[in-house]
Amino acid sequence: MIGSLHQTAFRAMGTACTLAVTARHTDARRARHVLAAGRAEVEACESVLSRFDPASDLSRLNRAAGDWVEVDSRLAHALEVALRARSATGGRFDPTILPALVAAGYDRTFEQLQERPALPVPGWRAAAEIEVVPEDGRARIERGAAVDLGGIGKGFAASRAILAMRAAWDLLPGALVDLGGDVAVWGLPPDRGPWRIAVADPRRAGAGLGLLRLEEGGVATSGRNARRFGPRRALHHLIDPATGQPALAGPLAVTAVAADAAWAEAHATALAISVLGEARAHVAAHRDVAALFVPHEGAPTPIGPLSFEAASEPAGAAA
Amino acid sequence: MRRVWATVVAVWATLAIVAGLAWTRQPQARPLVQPAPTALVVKSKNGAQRLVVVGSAPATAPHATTQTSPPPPA
Repeated sequence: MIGSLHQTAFRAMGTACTLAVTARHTDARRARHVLAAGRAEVEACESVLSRFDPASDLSRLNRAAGDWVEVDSRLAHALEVALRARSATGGRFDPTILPALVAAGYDRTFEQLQERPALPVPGWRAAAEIEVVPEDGRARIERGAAVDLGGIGKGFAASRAILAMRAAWDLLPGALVDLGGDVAVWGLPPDRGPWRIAVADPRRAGAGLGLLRLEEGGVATSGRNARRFGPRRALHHLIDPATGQPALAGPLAVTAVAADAAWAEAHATALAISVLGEARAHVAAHRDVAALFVPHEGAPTPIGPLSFEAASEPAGAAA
Repeated sequence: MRRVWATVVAVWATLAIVAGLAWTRQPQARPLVQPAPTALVVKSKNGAQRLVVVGSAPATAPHATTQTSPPPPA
């Protein structure tokens, strides 16, 4: 054993956040310092990447569409990752779906959403142009376009928080960042084995599908079982960039595992609007991603090199 | 005089027995790792026996849970 897990919990990025570090009891003060550094990084990412904060760098960039804007290095790097993910997913993950998301009704924070029917997006076109010069801290998006980093932002912040925590203590044994279910891990947990990440069952509140084991990297889940809105909560936030509408095809949820939490989140978003055959082909083409595909009915399907141990309780049993 | 010696011997014998018992029943050092799962057979009031497994949860308890980001509490 290496001491114990020292934790802190708070709300940020519209969700519940938990940060944890492995440390001996005699290092409790250092652990608090590391946790504070991680929390500060998460909050810094939120202040820069939020589309709901009019003062954020992302909101400034969206308002100035067509012009070059000076942005924080966090936003510049997040845009770079988002562009790479758009390319790697063949456009199934697209950070420029914001006009379609707003038209569907997700036009303010989830706490403030009001029920209204979805509106059409006339002349919808995905994959709007984004230009980034990270070394100069500048970015520009196509006139008329708008960016939403909701499908990548929490994973990006989780990875950044891990880096900030490692920088805060050279001898940090291990760390975990959980931002509403998007998880990044590094180093060792107190019991030295791999980190154990439970996969929540999207069909049964409070139940688990099984356990993922992860030495290092990120895990993210995307699905249509939560954050539903609109009349009779019939709409969900997974926009299909091909149509500009909430996706019809796809599983109930997908959990993706990758070396980086932002990468995992982007691929989870892309796989969540894919049918099983497409998901298999996608993972086969990306050796740095594995996934757990949870259909609306039936057993979950692990895809790719996944250390997953299914829960012994039979699927469909009462919680 | 003989009674005094008998008392002294008795006291020493008692002390030796207590010391011997204390030596053989020293408290075990607490293990650093979680104990392996243990099964206990419990008898209920009506005589039926049932098995209770203790100590297995910490060995497999997750460090975190991944899920679709839940909506904020109402």
